[in-house]
Amino acid sequence: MHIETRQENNALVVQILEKRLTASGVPDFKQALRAALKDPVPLLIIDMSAVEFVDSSGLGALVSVLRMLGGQNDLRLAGVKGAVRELFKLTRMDRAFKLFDSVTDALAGS
Amino acid sequence: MHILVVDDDPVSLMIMASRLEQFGHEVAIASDGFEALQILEQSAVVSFVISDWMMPGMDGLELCRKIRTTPFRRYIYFILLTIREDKASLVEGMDAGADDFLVKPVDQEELRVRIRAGERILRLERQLDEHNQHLEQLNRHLQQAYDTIRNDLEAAARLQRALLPAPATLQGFRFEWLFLPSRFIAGDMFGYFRLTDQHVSFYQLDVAGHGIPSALLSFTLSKMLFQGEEQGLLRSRLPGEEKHCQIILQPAQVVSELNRRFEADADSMVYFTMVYGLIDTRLGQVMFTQAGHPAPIWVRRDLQQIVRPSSGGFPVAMLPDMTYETVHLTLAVGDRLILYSDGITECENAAGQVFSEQRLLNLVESYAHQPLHGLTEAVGQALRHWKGDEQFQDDISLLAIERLSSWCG
Repeated sequence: MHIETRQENNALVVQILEKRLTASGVPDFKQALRAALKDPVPLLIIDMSAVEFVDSSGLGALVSVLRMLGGQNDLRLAGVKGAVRELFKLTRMDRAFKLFDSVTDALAGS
Repeated sequence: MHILVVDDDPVSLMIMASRLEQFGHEVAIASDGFEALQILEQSAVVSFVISDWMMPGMDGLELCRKIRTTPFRRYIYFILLTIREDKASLVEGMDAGADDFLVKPVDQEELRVRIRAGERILRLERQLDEHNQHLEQLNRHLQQAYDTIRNDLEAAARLQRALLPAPATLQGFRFEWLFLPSRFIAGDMFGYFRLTDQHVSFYQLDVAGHGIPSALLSFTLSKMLFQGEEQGLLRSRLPGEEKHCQIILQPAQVVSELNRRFEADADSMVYFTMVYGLIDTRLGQVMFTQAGHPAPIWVRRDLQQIVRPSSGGFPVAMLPDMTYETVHLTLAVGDRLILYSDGITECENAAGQVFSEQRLLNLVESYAHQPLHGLTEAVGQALRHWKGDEQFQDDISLLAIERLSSWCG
């Protein structure tokens, strides 16, 4: 699974460069996130603008990041759209996560 | 090393044998090919042959061919003695399977180094053989382990299928279903059962992920829901209450309780989506909670309309303290309520296209006036046709409910 991590201002941006976040990619995704969160991060942004499909395992992995942070650090999801957005609506995860159209919006927090 | 020398000339045989003994080898002798073969078959320690070419009966070339076609359990290194070193005889000898050649009269030093070269080859052959045997053994163990796991999974799948209810009519409501598990055991489960003389419960659930952890949870859940009454999951035991309808828990309460009991471990995240519902069979009133599961499809016969009565809800066991909603609707006679898992809508064909909600809705609509089992069969057929085989990536399940008539139990 192709994932890139970069620092932008005070935020750590984790960009998923795959069309699908599914069961087969979840171990890599979790590994990358665990590595990224080794040091405390005030703001974590997961950039999902390339992702077109998330299955139940992928959704579980995103929630596990939310739970790993335990509400102490700010997690924002950027670029959740199309079928992924539908899944977030169906599962009410649009209420559990802070969703933004783009990384720029997520950085601005609006 | 044990070396077999083959020569029809007793003098040459003796000279060669004594030289080899001087080098420290154990020597066996044969005067023709037949005798040589006998020795090789009887003694497993001999794996090195130095043979003359021209011999009566079976010559050296023929002996070499025979050795190569006989399934000895060891490699036999073969040196052919020749009188001339021309290209044609080299080719002929190698073609028969000889490893090396020595030209008569044989030089002492050359003999020594040629034998040493042969020894190296044999050592490598032996190592390779041991290595192969080791691999074969590992392979056998793996195969045994795989067979055990497969048998266990097949047994688990049979147990799981035994939990599925038969298509049935309960208190004037018809229940039909479609179930196509993805591999051996499934994360999808559904059921329906009488709760009181006037109430029937139904559910469908889909545990996230595939494989054994998901199947175990779906197993546990189906048992728990079926035995829910005893465990106080579906009805609360209020002392002094007499009327059944007052002590039946609302679907949202049931799902909240499941969410409380099954909080997923943050790392493995084995959570599930479900629809749990309750039918008042006399009035046709349905209450249900949609928890992250696809919205049920309500087919209204009188209005010839397809309605999606709910929009979503939190999955179960994903996050603590979630609130759930109960949706109310009334099924008229002939109305249907169809529950399905996302394995149907996300089923991909060879070109990577998903089956889609629209295709499912089209089928539901075109089978609206057919018997209920006609619909479940048609959906199964359409999905098999779409996928092209039976190897579904995700479990496929659909539960269809129809109100047959007014019922006065």
